[in-house]
Amino acid sequence: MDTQKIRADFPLLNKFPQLIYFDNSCMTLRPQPVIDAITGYYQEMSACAGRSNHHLATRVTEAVETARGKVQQFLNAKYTAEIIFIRNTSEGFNLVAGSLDWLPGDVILISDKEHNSNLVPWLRLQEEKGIKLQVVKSLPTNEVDLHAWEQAMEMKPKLVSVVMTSNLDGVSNPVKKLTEIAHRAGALVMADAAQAAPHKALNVRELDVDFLAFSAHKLCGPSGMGILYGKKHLLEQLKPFMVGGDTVAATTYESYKMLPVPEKFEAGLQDYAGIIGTGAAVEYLSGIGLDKIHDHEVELNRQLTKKLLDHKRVVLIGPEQADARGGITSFYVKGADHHQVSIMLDKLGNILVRSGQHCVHSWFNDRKIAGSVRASLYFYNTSEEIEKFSEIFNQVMDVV
Amino acid sequence: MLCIASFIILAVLSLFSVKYRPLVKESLDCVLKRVTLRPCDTGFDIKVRSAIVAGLMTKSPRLAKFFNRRFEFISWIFVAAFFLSLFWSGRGLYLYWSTGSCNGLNQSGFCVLDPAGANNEISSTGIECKSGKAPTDQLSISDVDLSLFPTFPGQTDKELVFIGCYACEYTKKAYPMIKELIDKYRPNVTFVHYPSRPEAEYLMAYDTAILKLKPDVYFEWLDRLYQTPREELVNEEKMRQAAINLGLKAEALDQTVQDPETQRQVLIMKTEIDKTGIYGTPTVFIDGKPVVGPKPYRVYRMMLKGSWF
Repeated sequence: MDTQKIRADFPLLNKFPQLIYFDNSCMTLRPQPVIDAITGYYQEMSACAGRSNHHLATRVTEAVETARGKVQQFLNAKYTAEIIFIRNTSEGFNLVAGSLDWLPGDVILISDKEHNSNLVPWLRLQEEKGIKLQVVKSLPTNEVDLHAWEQAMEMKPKLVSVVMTSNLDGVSNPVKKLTEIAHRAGALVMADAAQAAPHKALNVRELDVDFLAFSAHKLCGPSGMGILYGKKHLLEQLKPFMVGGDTVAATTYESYKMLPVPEKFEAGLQDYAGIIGTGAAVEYLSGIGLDKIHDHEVELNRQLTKKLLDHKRVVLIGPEQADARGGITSFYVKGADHHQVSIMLDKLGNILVRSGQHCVHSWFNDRKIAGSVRASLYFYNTSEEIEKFSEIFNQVMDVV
Repeated sequence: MLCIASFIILAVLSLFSVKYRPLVKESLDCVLKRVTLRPCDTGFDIKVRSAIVAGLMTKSPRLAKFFNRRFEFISWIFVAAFFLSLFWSGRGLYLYWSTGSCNGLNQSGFCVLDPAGANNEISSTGIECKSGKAPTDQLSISDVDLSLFPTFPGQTDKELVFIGCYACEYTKKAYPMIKELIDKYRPNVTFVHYPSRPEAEYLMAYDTAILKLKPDVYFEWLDRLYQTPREELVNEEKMRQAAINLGLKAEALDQTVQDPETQRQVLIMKTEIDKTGIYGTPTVFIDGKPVVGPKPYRVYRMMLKGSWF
């Protein structure tokens, strides 16, 4: 992979060459083709899709459906109708939570490392509809405990909603295996692919998950865009939690007739620029190759992990082996504040990392850990940046 | 603890720029936690600490390390210094408002609100100031026979003695305010002409003559004197003519001015004025309390009324 050539695609890296951006789990940078696709909508077609019949509207409709097709290919979904454009991963979970029929006592299983977006919607259902939310604990290494999951299935869950790759520590769950277990127990499976889709090739047919959600801004796409994948027959059964313009085929003063999937879930005028940008983003990543991206990140993470473990006060969250954590390394420094480490890396070396609880407050609160510093890598990061990080981190460690 | 001082500073800055407002909220949250003896978990103090430590690291890693380790203690010192400074600033503001100087009444040290010291400027009588401090403690009218000077009863028990020099710039500046004060609050008033400029000393005899011959025009005479430029004041013939224009007869005026009794009275008055210990004009005694230099109107008013309102 020619990293230098790739970096040339990113205007922000060209403008600020000293910047070391290690906050990719939160938000990735955008390459020129994605920016061009977004601006192209506003400059060249800027009209409604799926409504008007003039030629500009037709172009937008085609561009939107082309983008849907690109995402379908990206996920290897069976039908384009299985791809629903949403705002972000959180909306995906809310859509499923708000659209499935719930009965009091229905059980939902989640892991103990879920992002708030895969926790709060279920907690609310528990409050409002009396479902039972059960958390399946991970092993002490923060890796999945398959035995615990097998046991949890005895509760006959209605839904298993699980993260594919944790934004907390980068550890990936064996979602295919979990799906098999869940399906055997008669449960539906929803996967949080926010940290997986940008970093590894996904094949939803092989994974056999029922629903899967991710955000575009974590894979070089526009902000405020996300994808919900759902098996077509399941989506057809769901009642959309938001209805209105463009979700219905016809209405009278007394009734309405819904459009088929995916339109019935895409209420109101959509973010066409975002949708087209999302299509450009998945195309861009596919062009580089998800396998290459994954390998590159893991290699960089090995270097980073080695440098960090030179310091005795550094405590890694998750397994020590970088290979098990993809492109994410989350750590804290004994006796130092994680925010201070992060701010000083920025002030001293233009190194941007995340500090805090990374929207996984539940995990930190359960373990009484204040928070961590998270360095998350992507394909445009380099070994030189890891070296620079190490140099500045050593300086920080001398002081904190 | 730094959040307390930061909150106040940022609150002031946020009045002028919106970019400080989120920081104000953060610091306020931190302050509320600290004053209720809870740890500040907003990250605000960490941000401040980290920014300072990072800045110090580029200069001296050892100093940065020391600062980081002793941050809480150093913060307390900063906070204490901040509040001390706040107290002194507040005191300075109050004193400026109430006395015309940040340092207190008749104190001529530097004041940021009156950097040129305009409220303390005087026309010196030639007495040297010791240690750079004005000898205000020596100013008094208790031993002075004020009946020798033009005195006008008022409608209150308040007493105002205005010692000025007709030819001096700062007295001219203060006079209109004193006049307004007299018109509005009607104190008992005594006017004393202290000729800081020797060339205007002859006017003491004219004052005496006018009071003797036509006391009802004395205020008009004063107005005329304080409105007349210094160059004209030193021209005795012009001022003589001005007095005649007020209705005094030339012959009687000349006789009274040159009368040895008048000259003797002038000498006595000068001796009496020296008893006040004044070192410059204008000096105003309000109920015996000296006010040196041309103060803002509010200062005279507050001293005369005894309140701000």
